[in-house]
Amino acid sequence: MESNDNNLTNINIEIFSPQKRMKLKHYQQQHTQVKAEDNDIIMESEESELFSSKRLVIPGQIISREGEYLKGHGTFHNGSNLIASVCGTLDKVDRLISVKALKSRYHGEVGDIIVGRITEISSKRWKVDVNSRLDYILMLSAINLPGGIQRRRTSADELQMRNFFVENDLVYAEVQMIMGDGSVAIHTRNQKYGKLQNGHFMKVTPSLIKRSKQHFYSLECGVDVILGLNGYIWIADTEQQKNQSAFIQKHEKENFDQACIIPDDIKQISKDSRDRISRVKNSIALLEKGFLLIHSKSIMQVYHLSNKMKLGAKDLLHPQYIKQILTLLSTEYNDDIKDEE
Amino acid sequence: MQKISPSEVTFIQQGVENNIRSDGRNRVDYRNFSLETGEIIHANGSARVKLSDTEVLVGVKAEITHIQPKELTNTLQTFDTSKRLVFSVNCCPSASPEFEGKGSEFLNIELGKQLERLYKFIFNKSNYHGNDNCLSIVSGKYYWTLYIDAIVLDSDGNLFDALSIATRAALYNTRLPRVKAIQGEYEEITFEVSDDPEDTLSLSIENAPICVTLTKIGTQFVIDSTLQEELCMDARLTVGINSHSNICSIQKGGIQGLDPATINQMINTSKVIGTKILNIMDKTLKENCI
Repeated sequence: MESNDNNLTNINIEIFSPQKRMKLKHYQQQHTQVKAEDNDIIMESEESELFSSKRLVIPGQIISREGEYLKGHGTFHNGSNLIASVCGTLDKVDRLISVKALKSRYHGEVGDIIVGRITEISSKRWKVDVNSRLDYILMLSAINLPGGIQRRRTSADELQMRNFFVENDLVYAEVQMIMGDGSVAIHTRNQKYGKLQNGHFMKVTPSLIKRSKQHFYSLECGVDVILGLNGYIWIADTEQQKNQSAFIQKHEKENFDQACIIPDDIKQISKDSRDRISRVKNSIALLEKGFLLIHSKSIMQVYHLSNKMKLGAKDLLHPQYIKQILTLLSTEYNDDIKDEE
Repeated sequence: MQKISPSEVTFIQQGVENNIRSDGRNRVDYRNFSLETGEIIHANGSARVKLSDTEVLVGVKAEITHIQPKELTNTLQTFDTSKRLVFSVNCCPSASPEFEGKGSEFLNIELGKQLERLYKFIFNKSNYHGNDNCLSIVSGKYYWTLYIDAIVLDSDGNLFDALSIATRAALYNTRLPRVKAIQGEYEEITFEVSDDPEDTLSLSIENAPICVTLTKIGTQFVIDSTLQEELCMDARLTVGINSHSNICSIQKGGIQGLDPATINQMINTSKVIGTKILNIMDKTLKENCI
C-alpha cells in the first residue's frame, strides 16, 4: 500500500499545561496610573513627533484629555479622557482623532487592485465578495469583452453573463469608483484583469498588504502571485498561466461568443512547481503569523531562507521553524533598514 | 461561508493526485497541533486543541445522578453509557458566519452524536478492565454523569478529529472528587465529599478512542483535510481508533459512494495514523501534565 509507506513520523504535537504557561505581567494599579499620566505628558510635549510617526495604540490606552481633540472612529470618551477602543495606528485630521484598526475589513479606495469572489449575478452586474463590509459591484459594462472588442453591451450579452463569470469565480480587478451611497464599483477593463483559474487562493489580513505600483508579481522561482489589497491572494504557476492565457486568447479570437473551456493538458502543473507554489503559500502564511508586511521581497526572503535551511515546504508551518525564521527575519529586516539609511 | 470555484477544485484534486497538497503536505501528513489541558478551572477537566486555525475547547463537568429503581433492570444490564457521558457541541459564530443563529444546529447535532457514538462503549463495566466502573459511586444506584461540552472556536477543517482529541485530553485531565457514600438509618444515602483537593479520582483513558477522518478527493484520499479541501470532497470516512488499534466506530459522510477496496485501504491507513497520534499524545500528556 503506497500511502502507508510514506513517512508518518512527522506528527508533531505541542503540549502546553497551565503550569508551563507564561504568566502575564500585570502592572499594579498605581503603576498604570503613573503610566497613564506619562502618556498624557508625551501627548502635550511631543505632539508633533507623535503624529509624524504613526504611533500604535492599544484598546484602553489614553490618547488625550477631553476637549483637546474630537473623537473619531475607534475612540471613546471615558470620564475626562479620550480612549482608544481598538488596536491600531493613530490618525489625526485637524482636531479629529481616529484610530485605524490593524485588523479590520477592507475599505476600498479608487485604483486599488483587488482579488474578489463572485457571489451573485443580478441584472447587468455581478456582486463580488472582497472581504469588505458589503459586496462590491462589477457592472457588465465594466468588463472586457472577449477578444477585446469595443462595443455597446447588448441584451444578448446580458443573457449570457454566465459565460464570463459564474458564482464563486475569482476575479482580479481594480476599484473604479465609490458611489455616494457607499457602494463600490470595480472594473476589469484591462488585458491583465479578469478571471483567475487554476491556482491557489488564500486570505490574509488586509493591513498586511502595502499599496504599491505593482500587485502582480512573477516571482523568480516561477510562481505568479497576486497580492490583492483586500487581503485576498492568488498563487499560480507562471508557466501554466502563460499557456492558459495564450489558449484563452486564441479561443477568443476564433469563437468569442462561446464560453471558454480549458482542456486538461493545459491545467497540468508539474510536481516541482506545485512544491514551489506551496512553499510560496506557506511563506505568506508564515509572514502573516508574524504580522509582517507581505510583498514580493519579503516572500522571497522567507522562500530563500527556507531553502537555505533545507526545509520542506510543509515544514514552514512547524511552530519551531516559524519562530526561528521570524527571528532571523527580524534581524535581517533591521539590517535592511540600516542599510537604506 | 467559504466558497470555492470549479478551477480551484481541479487544482486541489490534481494536487492530491500528485501527492502534494496546497500546503506542501503529502496525503497522509497531519498538521502540527497544540494541546492545552486544564484551561478551565471551574470544570472537572478541560482541554483545548489548536490544529492550524481549527480551535476547539472541551470542558468536562461531573454530576452525581441517581438511577431510578424502575430504570435499574435495564440500565444495569446494558450499561447505557450514553446516559453517563452527555455530549454537546456548539459551533461559535466566530468560527464562521454561517454558524450564526440556527446555522450551526445541524452541525452541532452531527458532531455531538459522532462523539457519543465514539464513546458508546467506554467506561462500560465489561470493558473497564478488572475493577468496577469508576463512574459508579454506589453500584446500581448512584453514578457520575460526565457532561462533556465542546465549543468550536475557529474552523479550518477536520473538526471531528480535533474534537475527539480534545475530548480525550479533557477526560485525561478530569479529576473527580473522592466521594464516600454513607448509609443512614432509613436506608437513605448521604455523601461525604473529601475536602482535600489533591484527593481525587482520575479516569483511565486507555480505552478512549480518537477519530481519524479520511477525505476522498478525486480518486485518492487524504487525512487531516483543510477547509478548502473539505469543500471539494467526494466522501468522508471517520474511523474511531483506540490505543489497542481497535476500531471503535466508523461513519461515512459526503454525497458520493466508496467502494469496499477503498474502505479497507482507508481503515488500514487510519489505524496506522490513529495509533501514531495516540502514542505521541499519551507520551506527551504523561510528560507534561500532572
